Amino acid sequence: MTPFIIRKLIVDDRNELFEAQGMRYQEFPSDLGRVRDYAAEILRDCPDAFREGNLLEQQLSELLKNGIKHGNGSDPSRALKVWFDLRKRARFIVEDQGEGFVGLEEWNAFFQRRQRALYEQDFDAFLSLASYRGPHSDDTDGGNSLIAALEYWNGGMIYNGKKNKVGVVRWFSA
Amino acid sequence: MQMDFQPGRRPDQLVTVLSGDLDLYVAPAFAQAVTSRMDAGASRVVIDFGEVNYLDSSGVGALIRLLQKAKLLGGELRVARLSGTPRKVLEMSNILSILKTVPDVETALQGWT
Repeated sequence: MTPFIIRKLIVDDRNELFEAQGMRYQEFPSDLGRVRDYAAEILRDCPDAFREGNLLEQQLSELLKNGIKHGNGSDPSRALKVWFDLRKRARFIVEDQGEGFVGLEEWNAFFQRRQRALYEQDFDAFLSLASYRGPHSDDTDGGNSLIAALEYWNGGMIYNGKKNKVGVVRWFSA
Repeated sequence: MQMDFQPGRRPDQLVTVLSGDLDLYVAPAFAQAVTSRMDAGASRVVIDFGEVNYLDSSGVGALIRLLQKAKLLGGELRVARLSGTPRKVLEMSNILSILKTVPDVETALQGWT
């Protein structure tokens, strides 16, 4: 039988993914209506090989959306800070001005239950667990962005101690 | 995003043809529009994804809500012509494994008659 392997969100303040030296930097007002514009702007001169259709734009947009909506409460006066490096691989640090992802451990527990149901082919349980619903979730929250993110950011996805900053990297095969 | 609703072969069937981007700006309206038709009797729904270029977590969440609704009604959701980035996003979210995908709308409807 295939072993049950579970990924999880990790907190590590000193992780090398937070080393921003040499990265480009841009700040954005927390306007939820412009999330995809911001992603397109950051990726303006991104190598085509990194785009994978629009997959990189989509995954970057999820990080920006989470920071703007859940971190900064869509308050335009609160800046979203983004560091990025598109040489050799796609690497980003996104920092919001919020209180941090307080439900991170709860999310990890949810994800473990969800994946366990899938592993055991309990599809009824899986369907009921398919979307994460946090205390502030609404209709625009799919409740699955972090699940895909853990899969997509194959070089790591790490939160800082305050959990208001995430560092990610994706490597691409040659 | 454009949404076009067409009747199936029986009153309990609905064909939804999407084109454009199924993202956070339109996903709630999409889910609501399909759900209201399901409440009106269309418990078997085909969604044609052939012209969808972009799918984000809000769009995936909308599909999950429709899957849950179909289960509640004893119906079924089928997705036709799923490919490219939208397929990859559903795969990364682990939703592809529980989604009934079909090559085209005709195949979906044939399976129900």
